[in-house]
Amino acid sequence: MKKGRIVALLLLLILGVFVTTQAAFGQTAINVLGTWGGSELEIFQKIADAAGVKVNFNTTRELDAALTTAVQTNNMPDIAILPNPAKLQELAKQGVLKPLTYMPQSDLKNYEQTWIDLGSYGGKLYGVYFKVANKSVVWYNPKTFKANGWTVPKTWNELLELNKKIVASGKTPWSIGADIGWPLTDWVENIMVRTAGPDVYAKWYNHEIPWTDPKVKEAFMTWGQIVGNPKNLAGGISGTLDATNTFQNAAIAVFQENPKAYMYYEGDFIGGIVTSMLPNVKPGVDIDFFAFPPINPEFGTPVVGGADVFVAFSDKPEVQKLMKYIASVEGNTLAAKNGFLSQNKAVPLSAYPNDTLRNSAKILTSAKVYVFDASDMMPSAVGNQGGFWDKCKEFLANPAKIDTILAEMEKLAQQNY
Amino acid sequence: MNTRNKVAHGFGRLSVNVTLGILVIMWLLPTFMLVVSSFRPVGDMMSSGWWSAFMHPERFTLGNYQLVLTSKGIGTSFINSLIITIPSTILPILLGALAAFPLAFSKFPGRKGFFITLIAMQIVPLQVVLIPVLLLLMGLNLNGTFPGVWLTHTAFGLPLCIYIFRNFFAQMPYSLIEAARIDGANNLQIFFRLLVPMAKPAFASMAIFQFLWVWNDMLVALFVLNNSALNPVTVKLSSLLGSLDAGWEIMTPAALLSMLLPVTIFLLFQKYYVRGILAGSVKG
Amino acid sequence: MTRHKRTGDLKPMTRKRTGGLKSKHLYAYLWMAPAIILIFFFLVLPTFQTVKLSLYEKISFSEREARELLQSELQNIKGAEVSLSDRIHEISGWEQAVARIEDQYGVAVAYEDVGANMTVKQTAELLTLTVNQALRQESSGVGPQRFVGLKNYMRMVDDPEMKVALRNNLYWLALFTTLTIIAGMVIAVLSDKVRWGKLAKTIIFVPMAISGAAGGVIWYFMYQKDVNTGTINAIIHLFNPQFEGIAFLGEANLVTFALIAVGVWMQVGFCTVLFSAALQSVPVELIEMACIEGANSFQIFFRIELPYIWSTVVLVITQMIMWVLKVFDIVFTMTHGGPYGASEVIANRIYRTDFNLGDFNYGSAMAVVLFIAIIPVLILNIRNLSREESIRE
Repeated sequence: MKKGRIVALLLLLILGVFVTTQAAFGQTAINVLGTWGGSELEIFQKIADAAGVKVNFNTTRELDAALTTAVQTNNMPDIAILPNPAKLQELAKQGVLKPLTYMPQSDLKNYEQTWIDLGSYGGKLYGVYFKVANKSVVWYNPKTFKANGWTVPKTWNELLELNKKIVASGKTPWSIGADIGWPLTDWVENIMVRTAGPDVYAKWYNHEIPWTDPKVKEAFMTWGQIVGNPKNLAGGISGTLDATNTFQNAAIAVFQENPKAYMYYEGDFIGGIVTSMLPNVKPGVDIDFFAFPPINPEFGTPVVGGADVFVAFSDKPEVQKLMKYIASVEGNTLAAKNGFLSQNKAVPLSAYPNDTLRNSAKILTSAKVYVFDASDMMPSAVGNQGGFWDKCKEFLANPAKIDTILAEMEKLAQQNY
Repeated sequence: MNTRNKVAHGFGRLSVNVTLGILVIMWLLPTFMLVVSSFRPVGDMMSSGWWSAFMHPERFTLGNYQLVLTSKGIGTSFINSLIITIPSTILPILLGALAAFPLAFSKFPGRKGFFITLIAMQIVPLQVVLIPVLLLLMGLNLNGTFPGVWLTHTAFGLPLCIYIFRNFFAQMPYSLIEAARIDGANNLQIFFRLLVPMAKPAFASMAIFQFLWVWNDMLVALFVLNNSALNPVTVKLSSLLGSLDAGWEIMTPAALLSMLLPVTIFLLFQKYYVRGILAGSVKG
Repeated sequence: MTRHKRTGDLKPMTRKRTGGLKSKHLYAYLWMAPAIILIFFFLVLPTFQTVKLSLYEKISFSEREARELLQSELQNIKGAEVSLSDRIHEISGWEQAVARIEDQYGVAVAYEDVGANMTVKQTAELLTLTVNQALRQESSGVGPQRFVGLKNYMRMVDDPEMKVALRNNLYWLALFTTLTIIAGMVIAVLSDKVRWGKLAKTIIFVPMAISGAAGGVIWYFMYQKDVNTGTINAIIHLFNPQFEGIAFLGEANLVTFALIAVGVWMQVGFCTVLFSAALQSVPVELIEMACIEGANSFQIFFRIELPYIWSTVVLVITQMIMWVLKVFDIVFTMTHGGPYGASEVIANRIYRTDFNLGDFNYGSAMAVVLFIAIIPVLILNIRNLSREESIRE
């Protein structure tokens, strides 16, 4: 019996070595690192197949750690899909990215200059943006709105009026998923670009104006008109800040059978998340969105967006092939067909599989002002955890501390730019 | 056992049962909740408590399990997990027992220093030494291979293994070993013929510890293997989640499934486990 | 004992052929060799590197430096204010300005890379990139470093987040260690007195087999604030219909305790099993004797059982302290240290500092603080070893 066990173990060892060496033989595949998993990953595989490139995709929720380790040990993947431009800048600055000098002009001309600039460093293109999100939409249930006689607000004041009306009827207007902080920063960013305008907004994330600037405080205080009153928030302040109150949980709370709140602000991807978890919720019937309303009429209704960006650490022919395909009309159309929003102007709206996505795409490509998610533009020590994310939570917990909070942000910014 | 039960006076038998009962329920409840939740649709999980599932038994579903078990490559990842776990469990135990033998029975110079190092090294968190370890593996050309993972797990499991084995061996009746020496047995013979059979409980208990640790590990697999074809179950499951998914429908059955093997092994080895660790710690 | 002495004399005699005292110990080193080699290369050496890193600082060329340098060089040449958005080719003699910076850092930028429509800012970016690339090439591994002494440690002193992390680690140390030991002991003693004791112990042990990530999933559902979904709040609601729920993971002064509870839930099984096993080893005669003398259960436990199993208690305490000092999984999967850093612990801070912010020097200094914290545990164990050996002599 003992011998049997040993034999079994030896067999497993041999199998292990076999699998190892087999993997070593399949070296023609290129390594791609990213946070994509599940259906996103399936779509990406389709795109890679269409490009004719074999891909070994490593999914990680700890992309920062994986990239830091890769750079430190000089063992980089061939391509990485980054969620923020700041990371692209950081990697480019370190000189570990390969410039995409091989990109055909005929493909690049399908992108607005903003996108080229966001992907460039030191005058060279390093990244192609892919799978864009429109983060300037507010989600609501049209049925409930109709039943209660509420109408979609067209301005910030109308939004505040509606807010008041909902509270007066003994209900809670908002569900906000603080999650680890980024949904809160998205709120502030949308308000900032509407109250201060896109130019000041850019100065803000480049740290050309200090955090203590009155414009920044104004944005926070405007936000405070909603989050300053616990009655406006499902679960109150502590319930909003709770770690179990993820952005998905908070979204579900608006569309479940007994809704806890009636409005939810976050990007266009929320629709898909909600309908996949609550199969009874029908898009356009039980769930829909309106544009984040304008505040200062001078600046209208800008779109704050996010996007993933492909960067390359090597020049292998397969890498070039895939990067070119990612920027091509064909690649973007295929992505659109599978439900990824594309900012490539040559992608026909008819490519999208449904009206919700088509509407999002329309808003995105026709937006007069498109600005990138500011927290993604700031160095991560400033824009993410320990910085902007956490400070928004602190503001929520104690709005009176606003001056201290902004002073602390300013200190952090001075250390990290 | 019987004598002991008789001794239990003073405490009312009922109050002992009730107190322990409450504690056990407290410990069981979260796991029970996980079991129930894993059979519910994800929307229900998020919008109502698990107890309300019993009011709508028709809503129970196997869908979550189906989702996990039929996902592409899950079988391979299970085999990968075994390939990673088995050598990573055997190696540190074997090497640890070998090292513990002289540490327990010989007074060689440097013994105390080694012992102190052993204890101190148990505090080192993996994330602190990750980069040097990766650089070392790259130098050995073992980065991204199973042997690289085996070595890493072995090195990180060794200090505790040696520590426990040394304590265990030190408790063995010394007269037996002397007797064997007089009969002309050398150290190797003493180790394999005498100590190993006697130390079976210690081996079993360390096996469970090491198995649990490696089986549930994600960090080493993620950073050392860095290759989706070689990923163990833990890493594979996390790749089933989209970057924006809440993923409860995958996480709940996955948590239960990943518990199954370690818990089974624990139940099988439970009696050894108790005796093994005990002998390593209790001074006779 | 006398027999021991005799064999001690015997050993060198049988071994004499192979060469005296030294070869007697040779086998010891040989047997330990694989373990020593692995521990040395995977743990000891990296630990020394960590200590070294904590005394150094990364050298990098920041974009701000490049910008300010280039701007001032250009202004010197032009004799007028230069804005970052100016096109560099429009400033005559820009090549000299770039060349001067290149000389200073010993790098070369290809002039054809400085495109005709590039701005001053973009040129500064190009310089940053080139200098950093050169710095990277001349040093391997962690990148170029400069010795700074205790600077990283001084940074900790006025780092408010570090204070929170230290405080939380102390909470963990005090509460988690006490609770696991006491709960483990209570469960062990009680399960010893009932017929279903083995089942009880198994149930208590099950959470040990659960990974940190899975544990996180479970407690997400336990801790939700809503009384309709959060298990704990629902139970309280059952007794008090007015109750609106507590945000266990949302209140800054509650969150650490909520996480400690999860830790206790996961680790008590370890203590229980050890204690219960140790209690089994207490000779029944001792207890019976005490019974005859009229001692009650409490007296038996504190006067006889507890002293008898004391060394097990020490071992368990050691293991729990080791575990709690590097507690990471639970905090990381459940709160990421939030809300706004309120549940931060040192191990999580190290991870973030090293991998999210890429500051391995500061992260290493934190790790060294963690190492220092185990010195008392080491002393405890060394004393134990000496005592053991004096008994065996």
